[in-house]
Amino acid sequence: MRDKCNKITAIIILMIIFGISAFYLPQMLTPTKQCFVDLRSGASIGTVMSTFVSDYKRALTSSRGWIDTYGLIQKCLGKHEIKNFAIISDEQGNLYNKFNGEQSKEEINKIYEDIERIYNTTVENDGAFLYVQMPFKWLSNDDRLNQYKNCYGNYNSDILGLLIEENMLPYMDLRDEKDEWEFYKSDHHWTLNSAFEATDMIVDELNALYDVDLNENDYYTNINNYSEILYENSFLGSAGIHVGEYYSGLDDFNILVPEFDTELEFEHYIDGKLSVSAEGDFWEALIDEDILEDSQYYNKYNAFTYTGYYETLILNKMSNNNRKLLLITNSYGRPMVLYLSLMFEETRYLDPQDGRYNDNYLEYIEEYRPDVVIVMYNDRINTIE
Amino acid sequence: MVFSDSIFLFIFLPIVLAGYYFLHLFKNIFVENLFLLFVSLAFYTYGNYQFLKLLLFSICINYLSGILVHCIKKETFKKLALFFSVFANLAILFRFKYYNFVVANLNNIFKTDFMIRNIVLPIGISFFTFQALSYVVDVYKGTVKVQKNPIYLALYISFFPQLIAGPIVRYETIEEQITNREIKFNDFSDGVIRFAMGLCKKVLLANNLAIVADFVFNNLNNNGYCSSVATVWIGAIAYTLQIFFDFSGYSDMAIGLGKMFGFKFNENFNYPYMATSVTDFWRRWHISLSSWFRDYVYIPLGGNKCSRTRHVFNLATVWLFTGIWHGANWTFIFWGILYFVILALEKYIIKPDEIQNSFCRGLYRIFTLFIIIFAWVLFRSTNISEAMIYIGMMFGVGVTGVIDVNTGMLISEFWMFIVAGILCSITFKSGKYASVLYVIKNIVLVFLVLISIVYIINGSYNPFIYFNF
Repeated sequence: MRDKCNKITAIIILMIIFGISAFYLPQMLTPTKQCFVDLRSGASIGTVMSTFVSDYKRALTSSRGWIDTYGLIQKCLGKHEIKNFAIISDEQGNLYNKFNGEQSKEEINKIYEDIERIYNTTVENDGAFLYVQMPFKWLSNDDRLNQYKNCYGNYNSDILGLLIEENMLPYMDLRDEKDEWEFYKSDHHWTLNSAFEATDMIVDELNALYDVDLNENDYYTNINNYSEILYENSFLGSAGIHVGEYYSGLDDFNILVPEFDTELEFEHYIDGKLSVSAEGDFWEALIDEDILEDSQYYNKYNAFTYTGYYETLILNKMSNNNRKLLLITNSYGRPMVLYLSLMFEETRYLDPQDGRYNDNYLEYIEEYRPDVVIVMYNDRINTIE
Repeated sequence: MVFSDSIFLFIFLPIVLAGYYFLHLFKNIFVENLFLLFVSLAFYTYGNYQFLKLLLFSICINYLSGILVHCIKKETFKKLALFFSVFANLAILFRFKYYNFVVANLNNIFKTDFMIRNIVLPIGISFFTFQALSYVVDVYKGTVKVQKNPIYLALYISFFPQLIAGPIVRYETIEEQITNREIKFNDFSDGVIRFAMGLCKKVLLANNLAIVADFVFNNLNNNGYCSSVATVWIGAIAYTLQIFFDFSGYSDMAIGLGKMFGFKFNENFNYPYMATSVTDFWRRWHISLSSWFRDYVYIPLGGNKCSRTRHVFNLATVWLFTGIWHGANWTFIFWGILYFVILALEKYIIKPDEIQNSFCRGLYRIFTLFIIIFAWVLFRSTNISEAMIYIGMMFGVGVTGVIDVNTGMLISEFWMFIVAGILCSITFKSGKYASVLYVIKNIVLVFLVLISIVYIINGSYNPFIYFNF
C-alpha cells in the first residue's frame, strides 16, 4: 500500500517538475543559443551564466498565472507582508513597495547643494525657480504601516525642506497643501487626478511668486474644461505586479482630455537619441493608446508620454506665450507634464532617477535657458560645476 | 546552485535525471559515475566557477594521499603521508575560512598590521574537506579500501546532493554503492518523496521563518537594540525553527537525491527538538558532523575511556572544533564552548538519563529547549556583545516593554509558519489509521510541492545560510 502510494506520488511530483521544465523549454532556446554565441565571442562564463539565469527566471515569471497564484495564496493566508517586506498592504488593500531608508545629514546636504546650484544657474539665466516636495503614498503618521517597516521618505524630505527654506529658496510642500492625496492602490504613484490638482497648485504658486501669468482664470486647470476617459479595472501597478490581480485587484485608470483645441509635438530621447516622437492633439501627441487598449498590458501608467521618462520635449503649437519650462522630476512628474505642457510653448522634462538623464543639468539650463525650472526630486542630480 | 532554485529544479534536475537514466540503460557503472561527476562539477561551477580549481585540487590531494597511505608499508612514512594529507586539507580550510579571522585577532591583540585579504569563502568547503579527510584517515586505519580510480574518488568528494550542505558522507557508507549499486523503483520513489519533503521544509517553513528571524535580529541592529521581550522571543524561536528546517530540509533533499541515483546516505537529523537533554539533542542534530568529530577527534584523543580530567579535555577540544567548524567568528567558538560546558555538566553532575521523576524529566526537557534557543541566539548574532544584549532582552533587560508595535504584526503575519514549524518538529503516532494518514500525507505533499514551486518561481525570500560552513 505504502509503496504503491509512494510510487504514484513520486510520479505526480516528477510530472510537475518535468512538465514545467518542458513547458518553458521552447522559450529558452534563443537565450541558450545566445549563450554559446557570447561564449564564442569571448564573454566570461560568469557573465553568460548570469544572463542565462536572469533570462530563464524572467521567462518563468512572465506567466501571470504564477504571480496570480502566489498572490492568491498570500490572500488566503491573510498576509499583509509580501516577499520579506518588499511589499506591504494596508487594511484597505493599498499596496506599498517603496521603503526609503534614512538618509544621513551629509547625504541630504549634498542633495540640497545640487538644488542650490540649479537654483543659482536658473536665476543667473533669468529664470524662475520652484522646488516642489511631492507627497508620498506612505503617510508619516501611519502607525499601521510602521509596525511593518519604517519608511523614511517623509523624514528625509522634512530635513531637505528645512534646508531649502532656511536658505530662502522658493519652496512648496504639496504634503501641506492637502490632507490626503489619492494614489493608485496597486502602484506607488499618485493618481492622474492628484497630479492634475498638483499642477494647479504649482502654477498658482509660480504665479504668486513670479507673477508669470501662466493660467489665466485657471483655464488650463479647470476640470470642467476636460472630459474623462476611464479604463475600469485595467491597471496593475508596480506593487501589484508582484502579487497579481487576485491579491490587490486592478485599479481604474483615467485620463483627463482637454475639450479645448490642442496641437502638440512630442519627442523622447534616450542618451541623446530620439526614441519616440508623436504629434497631434493632446491624445495623439502624449498618450500611447495602444497601451490603454491592450488588455494584457497592465502597466497603464506607461501610456503617459509613451513610456518616456529620460528626456522629453513637448512643443505646444497653440501656446499663448513663448515661455519655456524645465521640469526635473522622476516618474511622478509624468502625468503632471501632460498638463503643464499646455501652459508653456516648450516643455522639457528630465528624469535624474537611476541616472536616466545624467548629463550635467547646469549646462542643460545654460543651453536651454528655461523661463521656469521646477525641481520635484529629492535625490542627487548631476550638477558638477 | 541551491536545490530550492528554479534553475536546479527545472533545468539541472530534469537534465541530470534524464541523462543518468538514459545511461543506466547501458549498464555501465563507470559511465554513470563519470556522468555524475561531470554534473556534480557543473553544479559546483554554477555557484562560482573560480572555486572549481580548488575542489579539483582538494580531490587530487586526497586521491594521492590515499594512494600514498595505502602503498607505504613503513608505519612512520605512512603517518607522514597521513600528516601531509591532514595538513593540506586543514591548510586549504584555514586559507579560505580562518585566515582573516586569525589575522584580525592578531592585529587586535598584538597591534600588528597584517593585511586582511578579500577572501570569498568557497561554498561547502567545510563539508567536502571533512569528507575527503575522513577518506584518507579511513584508508590509513584500514577500515576502507583505497580507491584507485580517481573518477570514483572525485565523485565521492564532489557528488552534488551532499556537496554544499552535507550530510558529511563517509566513504565507507558509499564505497560499495559507487561501484555496485542497484536502483529500485521503490527507492527511487522514496527519494523523490524525501526530496519533495525537504523542498517544502526549506521553501515554505525555513524561508518564511527566516523573514521573522531576520526582521527581529536586523531591526535590533538598526534601531539600537530597541524591542520588547515578546518580539525577541519570537525572533529567537523563529531562528530556532528556521535553522532546523533549512538544514534538515537540505539534508532531506540530499538524501532524496542520493536515493534517486541509487545512493543511500545516513540520516542527519532525528527530531532534535524532541531531545530529552542536550546530550540527546546532539545525538539527533547534524548527526553526520557529530559522528565525524566523535570518530576522528574524540575517540583518537581517548574518548571517555580515560581519566575525568582527560575526558573533560577531550570534550572541550571536540566542542571547540565543532564551534570553529561552523564559522570563523567568536560567536561560533563561544557557541561550541557553551555546549561543552552543558555536556560536561550533564555527564558528571546533572546526569539527565538517570532522572526518574517524570515531572523532573519534563522540566529538564524544557530546560534543554531553552538552552538550545539561547545557543541559537549566540549562533545567529554577529558578535558576542550583540548576543549578550539579545539574551538579556529575552529576560527583560533593556527592553521597551513586554510587547511592542512589531509583536502583533509578527504573530498575525507569521503565526501559521511558526505553528506549522512547531508541529513539524514533533513526532506523532499515527496508530491504526496509519495507512489512511499516509495517503493523506502524500496528497498534502503534492499540494505543498505545488505551493513551493509557486514561491520559488515568484522569487520569494530564499536565504542561503551555509556561507559560513
